[in-house]
Amino acid sequence: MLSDADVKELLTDTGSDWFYLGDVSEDLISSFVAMIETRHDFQMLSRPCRRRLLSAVVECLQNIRNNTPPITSPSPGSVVYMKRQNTNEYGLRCGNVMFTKDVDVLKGKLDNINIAGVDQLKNMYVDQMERSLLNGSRTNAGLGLMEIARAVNGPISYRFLPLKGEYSFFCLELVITLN
Amino acid sequence: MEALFVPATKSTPEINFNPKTERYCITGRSIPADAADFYHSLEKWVEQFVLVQRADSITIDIKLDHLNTGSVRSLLSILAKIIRLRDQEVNLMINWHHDVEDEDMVDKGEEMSLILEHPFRFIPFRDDE
Repeated sequence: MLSDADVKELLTDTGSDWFYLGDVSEDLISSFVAMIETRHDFQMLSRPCRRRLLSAVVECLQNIRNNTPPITSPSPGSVVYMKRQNTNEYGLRCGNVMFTKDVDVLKGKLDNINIAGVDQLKNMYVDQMERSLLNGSRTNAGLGLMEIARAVNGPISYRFLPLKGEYSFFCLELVITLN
Repeated sequence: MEALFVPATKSTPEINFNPKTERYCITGRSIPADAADFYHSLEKWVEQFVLVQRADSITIDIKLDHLNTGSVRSLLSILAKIIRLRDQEVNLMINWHHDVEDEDMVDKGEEMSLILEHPFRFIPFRDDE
């Protein structure tokens, strides 16, 4: 899980809009989306900006839901934190426990996404989606991360925090700028 | 063939595929956590439909305000099966309705059209329509 200092920082941030620590279920994702949609500042955004913000939030939460391994110890709980940083900027942090052995693969995917330009990212997305369609895969294989990068319109900041044993905590730290 | 109707929920669209009325529509929001599971019934329905349908022309209308990655993949899989009707010389039209202000959704449709190698017709709408 996050370090004690990280959790303390998040919990004591008086500017946070919401903070959640626990399992991410489909119902929880629906509740988060509904909560965001009722916010006044959200409703004041243009429709494309609303869609882009929700897209980033949904993909992040579903990434957690779909990629947290079925483990019982340490707790597979996830963290989600969101804050409106200024008029057109939202900060979103989220993360989940994962196996340390999978860190390098995920890091490689993220680094490839982060060095890609807009057009290159689009091509990567289309190529990966075509492969997914051809092989009948039901897994995202990085597509969700690409979608997040496109919604964020910039690189994805991330951290891997070592946990005890064979586990790490994967943390995404996004700034979603809405123009 | 019996129609398939699935009502909309907070995270899934309405599906209305009805050979009698010749309406084939997916409308609403598509952000289910397990899109493959949600679209399974439509995919199975389509697999049967392409075997028995006799129409010369079919129009699919897709009007979504949000769709997640899993939904894109599932829709592509379903549309790829419908597109096989071209082999039977069926005139297949796919209408992609999008918010007039939302260029990202246009891009999404264009990407799907590119992957399927089948043209989409882009139909803009306003939020109050």
